[in-house]
Amino acid sequence: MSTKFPMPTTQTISAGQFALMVTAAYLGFGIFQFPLELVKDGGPDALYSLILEILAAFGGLWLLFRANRIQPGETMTGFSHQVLHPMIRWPISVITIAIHSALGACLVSNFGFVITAFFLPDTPDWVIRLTLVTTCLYMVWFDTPSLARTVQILLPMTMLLTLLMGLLLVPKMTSGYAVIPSASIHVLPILYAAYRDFYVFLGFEVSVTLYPYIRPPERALGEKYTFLAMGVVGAWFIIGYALVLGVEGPYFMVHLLWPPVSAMRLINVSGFIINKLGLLVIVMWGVFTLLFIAVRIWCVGHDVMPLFRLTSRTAYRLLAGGGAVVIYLGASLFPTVHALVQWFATYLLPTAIAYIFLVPLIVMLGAWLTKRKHQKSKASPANPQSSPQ
Amino acid sequence: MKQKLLWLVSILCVITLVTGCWDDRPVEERGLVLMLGISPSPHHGVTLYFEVPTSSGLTSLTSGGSSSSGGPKFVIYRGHGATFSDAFTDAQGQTNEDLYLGQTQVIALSTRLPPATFAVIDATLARLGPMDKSADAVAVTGSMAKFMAFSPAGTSLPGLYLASLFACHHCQTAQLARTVWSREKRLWSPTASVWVPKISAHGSTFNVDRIVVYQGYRPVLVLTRRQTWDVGCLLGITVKAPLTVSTSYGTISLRAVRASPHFKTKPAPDGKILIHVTVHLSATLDSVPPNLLITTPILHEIEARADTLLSHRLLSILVTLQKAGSNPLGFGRRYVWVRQDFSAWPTLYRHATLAVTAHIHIHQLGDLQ
Amino acid sequence: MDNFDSHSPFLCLLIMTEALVPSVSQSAEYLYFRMTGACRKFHIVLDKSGHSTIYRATIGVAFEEGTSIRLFGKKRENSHGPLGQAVFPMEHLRHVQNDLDAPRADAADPLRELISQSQNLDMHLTGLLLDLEQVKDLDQFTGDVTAAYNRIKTTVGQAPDIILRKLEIGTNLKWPALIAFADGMVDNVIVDQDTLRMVELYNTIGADETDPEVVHDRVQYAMLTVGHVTTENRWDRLMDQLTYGSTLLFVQGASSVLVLDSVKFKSRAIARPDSEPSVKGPQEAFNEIMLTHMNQLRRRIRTARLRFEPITIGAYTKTTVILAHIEGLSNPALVTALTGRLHAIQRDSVVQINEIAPYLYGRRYTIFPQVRLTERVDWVARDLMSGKIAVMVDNDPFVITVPTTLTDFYQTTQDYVFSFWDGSLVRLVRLAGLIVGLFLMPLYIALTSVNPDLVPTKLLLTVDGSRQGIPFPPVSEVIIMWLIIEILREAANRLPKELAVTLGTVGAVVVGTAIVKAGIVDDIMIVTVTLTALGLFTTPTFEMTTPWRWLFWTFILGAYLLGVYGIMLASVLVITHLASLEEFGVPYLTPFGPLRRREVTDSWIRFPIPSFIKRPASLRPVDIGQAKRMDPSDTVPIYQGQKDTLE
Repeated sequence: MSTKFPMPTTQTISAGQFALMVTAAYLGFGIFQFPLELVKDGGPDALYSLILEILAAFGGLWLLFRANRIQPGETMTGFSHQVLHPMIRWPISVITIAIHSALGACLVSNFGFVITAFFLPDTPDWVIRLTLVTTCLYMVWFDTPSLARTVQILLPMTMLLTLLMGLLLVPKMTSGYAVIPSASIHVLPILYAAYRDFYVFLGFEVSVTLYPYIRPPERALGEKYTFLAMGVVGAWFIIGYALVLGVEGPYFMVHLLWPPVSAMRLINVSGFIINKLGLLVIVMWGVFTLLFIAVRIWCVGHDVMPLFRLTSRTAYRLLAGGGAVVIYLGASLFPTVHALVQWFATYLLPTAIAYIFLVPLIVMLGAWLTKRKHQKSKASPANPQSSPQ
Repeated sequence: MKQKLLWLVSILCVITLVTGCWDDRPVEERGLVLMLGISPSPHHGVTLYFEVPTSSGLTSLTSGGSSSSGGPKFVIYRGHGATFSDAFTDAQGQTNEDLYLGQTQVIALSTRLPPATFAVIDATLARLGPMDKSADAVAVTGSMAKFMAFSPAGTSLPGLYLASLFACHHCQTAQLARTVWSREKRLWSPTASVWVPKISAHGSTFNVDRIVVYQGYRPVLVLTRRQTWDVGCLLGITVKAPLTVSTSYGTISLRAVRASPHFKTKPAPDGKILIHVTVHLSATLDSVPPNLLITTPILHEIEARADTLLSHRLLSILVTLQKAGSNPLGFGRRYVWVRQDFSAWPTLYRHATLAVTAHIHIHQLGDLQ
Repeated sequence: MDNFDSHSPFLCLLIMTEALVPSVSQSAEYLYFRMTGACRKFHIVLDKSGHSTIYRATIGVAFEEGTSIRLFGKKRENSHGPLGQAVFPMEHLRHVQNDLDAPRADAADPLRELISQSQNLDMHLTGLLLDLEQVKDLDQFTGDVTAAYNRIKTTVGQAPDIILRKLEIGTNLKWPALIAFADGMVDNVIVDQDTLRMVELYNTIGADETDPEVVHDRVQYAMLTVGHVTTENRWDRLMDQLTYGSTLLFVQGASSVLVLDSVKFKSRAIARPDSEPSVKGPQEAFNEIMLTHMNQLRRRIRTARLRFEPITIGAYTKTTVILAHIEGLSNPALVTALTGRLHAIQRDSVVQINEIAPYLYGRRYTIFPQVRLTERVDWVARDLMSGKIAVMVDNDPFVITVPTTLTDFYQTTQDYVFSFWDGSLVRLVRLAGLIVGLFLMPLYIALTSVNPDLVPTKLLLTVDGSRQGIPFPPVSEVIIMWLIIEILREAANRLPKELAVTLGTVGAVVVGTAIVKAGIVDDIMIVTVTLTALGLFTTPTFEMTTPWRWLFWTFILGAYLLGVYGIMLASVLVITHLASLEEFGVPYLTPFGPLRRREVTDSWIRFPIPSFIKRPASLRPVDIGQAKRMDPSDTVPIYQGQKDTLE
């Protein structure tokens, strides 16, 4: 008898798991800073900016799904070789992998700063980063279904917990005046704030890699659930915006590094062993971070594999390990949170936004041209026969 | 082979991690600072006072308040320095415990702190990660050394006593507790001004029934008890406040007056701004002249009289605050936020037209007609 | 010569022979004789080759003083020549025996035994060769009762519990026969009255009764009054039947042997399920007898679709393993997969069910149990009805049901015998117990050493006060107290019940009080460790407590190094590990990961039983609905035995 069994019996995930994995792929990134840029740049119209960026996120997701439908059984990196010229395909693939790695590195670094600032001031940064990345690597070690289940258990629970804790902030909302948007609409600040704050949705482009793993009959449902989840997250962000802004007020908030963290620190519930429940929730946000980074590592593995026609689990694990190392090293490059924020705003944010909105268009265009070419090549030999001449 | 490698890596990781116990310091090795006092020292320096419970104080808590051993229940470490960090280091040098600010319950700020020094200290406090932002801030007008050394009767740890006092919403005439957080928030606001309760040792107890209002980092007014009550009404934080009204029927006393204020800031036709405060109050009828039978018209007359009285009093305190350049009620927050014109506010406020409308409603009469 | 030790210092007796040792179909590639332990045992190992080949062999006997005597056979060459007559030089042995009788008394006993065993070998080989002459097959009964007697006597028959009796069928026919059975494993009534007595009463009724097959058939169909009689002529199977309690009746000249089902074990009575007690509800546990297992299940599930598929595992023990499932309800793919895994087991012995359990799942190194062991009959019946499969092993009162999920380990019969309020409450208490047991001590370390800012000030000051003068940090306290708890637990397990209670008192009162008074551990730690131990004790299945007792240290390490953040990381690691477990397509964290809303109603909470209208979808049963009305015509009559009991 062989001592080894194939590990999971299936590699596919359900529609719900897909939706949650896509959600986990963007939710963890912006929660520590949100809605700093929104208020800073949007001012009294910040709420309009938030609504705009939620709508933009829906649009981006819709575009990505359209691109995925071209070849639903393959990742976009996988099927792009059929529809794109290598000169376009390779840069897109490299950018995909680089964006995943960079997003992961940024969040590892950011969360490391949060933890050392509030919880473990004497613990070296590398320990926080190492433990974070190692845990994420273990999370992706058993591949897609295992990760999907982990996400399914942890994500809704942490979101709900955050919401419940956040509601405890309602009595502290002494700056509710700032939540209500102004009647006068200033378009440019609204657009700029929406752009600057779009980082809260960065990461849902994971759908291009994850799409083929949905059980084929559930793909349409998966899209629907993902939109639904994005709606829930959008509502969650609107509530978060109101709470954080209402508690901290706009003037103080724009001077803070991590406004939601500062707001949560104010939650103090007597009668429990831990009364600073808000602080505990910040630690729990580590779950969002872990899920985000784990999904990034998973993506690195699964995006590199089709490039080199790799299919084995060992290859996946090696690549995931490599991705984890890259993310860890990348995170170590930021000496301070300011450097991180600046680098992110200058380079990664525009690149990632461009990726979300342009790459699906390029792929769809490539697919359309390829289809036309095929139709022409099919039609051309038939013409002489059908021609009366 | 793969598993052996995995084991090896795991063991190496664990060993590496175990070599460091970076933040692991058992609580008995930490000096839990329950109250932090900040006062100026000569040459623009700062003196910090740290109230730390002693073993005797701690064991007295464990054994249900009955200490088995005598001795002081807390110790005050005093550190001087040019900056907060200097003073902290100075105090740290006096003890073998790690002075820990994560459980600080009260931060006592001397009103004598120069604004510039105060601003620097405030920024330092804001940056302290483990510092508890929900600690209560109080103002001390007298000697900080004396205040820190004072222990009210029947309690062993003053910091804990004050924390309990401020945590209990019904234990004061008004909810005067101001957290470090809310103070910091107001300091950044272009409109609102800081106010904190003034605390003083009185006999064998602490006295907390007044507030100090600031303009920026500078304390500008120490309000009287009645002014504090009036500001309490405007802030909506009164709990057990009394109100005495003279009427044609005699002196009527109301108690447990609770206020619900609303204010509106809007531009006036003359280019100034109009700040209109409306306060709805509810009260319990406390005492009336003997043989006065309370009827609805009489009640309305008492209410009308109280409205007039209160409106005048509240307007009076608002004008006082306006003249002092302090805005503890935070008028104009939305006005400025929507218009994004922060620099004009001080002038606008200084010339603003103030109006107060008070509506008192006596909703309980007790058990007597 | 292979394995022949020619360096014997005392005596080397070498008997060389050119006996032709044949290899036959399904039997020997070559014969390998070995006598060890001063000839007390004599084994013959027949290695199967599957083709008929004749080997020439050299048989040697080697003797080493006081250690061993070996008799080896060695393949010399491979040939396909005619069968030859074995010539075994018994006269040589007799000479040796005579020589040894007088002068070397110290070496005589082993030598005599050697000679005795050699004589046995001679007898055995003679029997074999006789069989070989008849049917050209060493593994087949030839019809020669004497050869059969010799064969059994020289093999399994050497044991005192194997009874061999030569007899004659019929008082007038006097047809030679042989009866063999294992004493103590057979029903004496069947052997004495239903077999021996009936065989002796045989009377000839026709002339054709000189034909052995006729005699055989008449004995089988007309004489024997045993309920279950089969025929068999393969020796390996006959030996298995003999050792399992069947009675063998050899009839001279017949081509097959009558195998009488006379099995009657001494078995333990059906007891209460001590390891899974329930205040109310069924109180019946399995015992060690497989037949009883099946009877108990049949009594609960009367459908003819209840299937018991036997599989024999263990080259030596030949243990019967039964795979029970309900056809048309449980998923056939699951049955096939499980059968395949059971068939693939290669072991010499299976004496308890846990020896086959690890073969049923892939992730063998995981700390979490992947199969649930139960001794409750009602629980197995419930699992079968939900679409699971039960694996039962003979001689073990515990039964495995698969597939298993984490929540299965937290469910008991008692959850269903009271109202759903009670069922839900006890399950939530178990969950709370698990959380307390896992997190309380790590939190104690994290909150007193790493993140004291999260604790209410008064509580922290109380802890600080209680820790004044304690020489150890919290993490060391935890190690000390945990060691004490584990030692007490193990000691209590090893002691009789009465003493265990005393030990608990000693542990709780003496050690607990003394250790606080001595100032080694603070009193809050005593409270913490007690709650931790109690919390983990709430786990209803023993096999699930072990993982948590191990993983507890992961949380302790996380808390010690990184405080609450470390606990969070450890929790995620554990959840990830649990999420990665999956057997037979059923994830371990079902119904939470993947989410199965319907199954959540019977997980950490329990809804009213009428709300369970479908079987768990995660088990992919063929028939998912479980709220069917019974056809009135299907009413099963009450058994006579039950009627008697009722009356």
